[in-house]
Amino acid sequence: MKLKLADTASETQTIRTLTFVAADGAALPGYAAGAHVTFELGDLGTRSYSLVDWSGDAVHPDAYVFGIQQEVDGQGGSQAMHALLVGQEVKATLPKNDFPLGSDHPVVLIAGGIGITPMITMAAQLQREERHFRLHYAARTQSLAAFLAPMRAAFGDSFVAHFDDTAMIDMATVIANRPAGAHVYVCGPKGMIEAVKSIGAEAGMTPEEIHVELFTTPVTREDDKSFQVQVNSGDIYTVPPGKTIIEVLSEEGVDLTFDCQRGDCGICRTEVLEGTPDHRDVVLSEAERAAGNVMQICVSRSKSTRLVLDIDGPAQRKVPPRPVQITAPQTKTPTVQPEEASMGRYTGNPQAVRALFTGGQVHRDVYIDREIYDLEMKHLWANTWVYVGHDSQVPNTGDYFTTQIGNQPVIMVRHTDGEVCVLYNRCPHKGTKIAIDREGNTGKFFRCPYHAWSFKTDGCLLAIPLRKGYDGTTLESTPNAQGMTPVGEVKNYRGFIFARLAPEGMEFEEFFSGSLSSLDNMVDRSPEGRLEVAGPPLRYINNCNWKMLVENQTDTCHPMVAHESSAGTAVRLYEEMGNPEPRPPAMEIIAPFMSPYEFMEGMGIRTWPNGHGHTGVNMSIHSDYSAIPGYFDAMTKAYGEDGAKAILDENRHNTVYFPSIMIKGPIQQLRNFIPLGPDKTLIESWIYRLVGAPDQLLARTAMYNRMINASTSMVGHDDTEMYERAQEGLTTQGLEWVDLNRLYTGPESFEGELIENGTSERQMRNQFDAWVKFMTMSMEPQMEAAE
Amino acid sequence: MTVQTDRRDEIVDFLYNEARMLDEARYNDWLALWLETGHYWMPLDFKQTDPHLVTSFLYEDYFMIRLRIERLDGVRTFSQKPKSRCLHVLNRPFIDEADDEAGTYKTVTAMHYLETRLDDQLLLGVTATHDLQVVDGVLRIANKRVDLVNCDAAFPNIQLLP
Repeated sequence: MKLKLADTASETQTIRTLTFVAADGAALPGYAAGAHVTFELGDLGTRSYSLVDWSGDAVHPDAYVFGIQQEVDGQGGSQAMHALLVGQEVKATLPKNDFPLGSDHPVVLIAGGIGITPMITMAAQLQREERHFRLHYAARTQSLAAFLAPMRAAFGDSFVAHFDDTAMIDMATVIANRPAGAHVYVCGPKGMIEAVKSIGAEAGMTPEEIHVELFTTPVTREDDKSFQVQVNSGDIYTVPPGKTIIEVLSEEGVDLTFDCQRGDCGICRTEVLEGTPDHRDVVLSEAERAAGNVMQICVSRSKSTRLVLDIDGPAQRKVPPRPVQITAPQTKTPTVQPEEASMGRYTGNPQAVRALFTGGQVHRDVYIDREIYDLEMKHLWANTWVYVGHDSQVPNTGDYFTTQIGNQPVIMVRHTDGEVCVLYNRCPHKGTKIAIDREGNTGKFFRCPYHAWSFKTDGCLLAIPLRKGYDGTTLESTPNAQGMTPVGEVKNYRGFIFARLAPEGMEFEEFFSGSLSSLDNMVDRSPEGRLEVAGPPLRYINNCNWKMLVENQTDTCHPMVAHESSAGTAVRLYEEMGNPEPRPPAMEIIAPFMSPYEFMEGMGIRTWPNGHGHTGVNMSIHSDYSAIPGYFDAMTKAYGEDGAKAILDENRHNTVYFPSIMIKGPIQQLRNFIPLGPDKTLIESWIYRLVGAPDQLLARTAMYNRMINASTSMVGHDDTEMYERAQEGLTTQGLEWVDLNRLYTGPESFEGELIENGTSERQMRNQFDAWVKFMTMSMEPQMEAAE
Repeated sequence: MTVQTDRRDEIVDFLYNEARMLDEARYNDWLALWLETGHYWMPLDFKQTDPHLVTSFLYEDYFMIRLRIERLDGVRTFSQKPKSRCLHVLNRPFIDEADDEAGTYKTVTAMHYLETRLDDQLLLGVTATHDLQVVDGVLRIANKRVDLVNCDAAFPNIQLLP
């Protein structure tokens, strides 16, 4: 028969409910609990899914409902099902039942993972028939468990959930507590079924009392064959169909290091010495697969009859098992040299600075070495264009704002001619800071509070009390007589003030080139093409090097890991509440941090020369924000419908303007990274109002700022913990290099614009390429001068 | 400034008990004090009046408060391995507004808030403003605002609830 997709709904990150009706509108045949339907998916073959029914009576169903989990490492069947659009038709068999429910006994239902789907139907039928039953549902974590809230509502105390990460299901207790004469029905992965069978047998259950339905793991295929695995001890093991290398070797006492067992974490990577692996993971690159000398032993199998793997055999001695740990890559004997005296190692030595970045790795000294930090302040932060502030902070003549460029205190001030000037914040007389409040208005001139030397708002000396005391002195011939020193150059780009401390250097346009498109997009989102700072910034201190923060802006492989505590918990909590609408605001802002790797890969990364780049080329975690009434109309009025769409369809995630800031165009946020020392960074997180747009947009922006970036932010806590642990960890003598190799393919050029897979670390490498350039560009002339 | 009310002792006890629940990490007890419509607000700006169109440290609805509490106990909440501890040292609360008939009260309580984890200890001077409401004969938190006296300083992580 032909089924037509009538509705879909998302249950978890990977599980969707699909509701089908008959394509011809006819009544659907009824079915009993435990039945499944087999779909025909063309080249992909067939896929069977259990029917889900909550009514307890599927004799005359209105629709066929399925809960389908997307298997990223499968062969595309579940992905094809997820990709079906409402209204699309697909061929399917009539319901068939290999897993029927008996009628004359108490029932214990045990489901693992997506194996819950037939169990829902069984529980609903048992409930309607007022029979005794209990439904146990085991899932890896609460956030991965689907249908929790509706099952709790429907089955009440008859329903028990177990989560591996908190309280794993205790199968012996479940079986031991079954009512007299009960039958056990289990649907789940092979390991679970085997456990129930053996524990049930021990508990005196007959095979007839245990009913099983295996949902095959997606990496198991019908044509899987046995193969042999030989390990370093010479021992040979046979891996039968339905078992993985890890399962077989672990049972034999081989101590392995692994985690996900789904082929996506990469931890079980193992060297292949002989034989041809059949790769089924999503970790290895095409090149690695082709080379065939490494494999993921959790899901991958063998094309040859034997694999020889670089794995130690079972432990000979009776020793307690080691805790699971990530094996460090084999390195040569540590060659840690005694620390040389810090000063003088890098100063005036551009070769030594260049050697800190190899293309794929960077030496830890860039994060922890005091001399490198001082050189960064002197060279990198002077030669680059650094963000200072926004011109809406100083709207009127004499308005000023104090901040730092690198470690240099500066004043940004609106001069009497209307231009914004940036001056070193120091009186030329004794060095007193001219202004120490963060903002204010100085009128037509600055006046030093110590001896009342005064300066125009462009820095020029205006007056010195009792000036004649300097007549005939050397003051006039020194720069001090000029007044407050301006920085090298200032640029106001659409309201954003950047400055270069060095008097000579790269021009603004060359330095930023195409990257300015991100700033343009952020400003263009205002119907008037103008932003205004909204309130004071969040200010927070992280005890880590400033570059860790900058790198993290385009690190797309950390959110689903580091932010599981916040975003993952939010997703779980929302599901427990039964996914109410409208969503709590936190779900819109925080939940996308749990987006899976494939989403991050698809986001894309774009790099520009001189260390700039952004994540979210194709879409981003900011793409799915709800529409704000009135905004699109205002944009259409300003730019025309096509123009407005072009602006709003761009949903760039984080754009790094190396070295000092990151902006988020879609939510008008800017983070300013201000170095305070090699291991200390001040971050200011600013937000902007889109002039001419509804206030609700600003409300969302303010909400984002506090939820993600405040010192009190749960998401912020996740990040800070990682940076500070890294800063501490880097001081260990075990390894000297930090890795940036993800999707590195050998020497690369950063000239011109390039778009890559969103999980690439190319942008981090781009930053270090620029780092070397702007660190050393002013070092060499100095050396020559010294010679 | 403290006004007259029949519930004076009850209100003062309530505020001390609330602080004690936080200090003893009895978060579910603490959550039960809240009306589900309430917000926990920690302004960023000195004397801030608007929680919406400028940034705050916190402006948490019931969902966010629950999330915050849940997260503290998460298996993979690495910033709470080891856990932080806190201590509230309360000044005598002011009862600024009282309506015994409606059962609504506004209190202002200055306190020292101390939060510690490993070798780090943070001391904040804070002023807590509570909107309390009697529901079924029992005081509940309708809204709570916590102002940091040094709100414009740069902070390290503040992981628990001042």
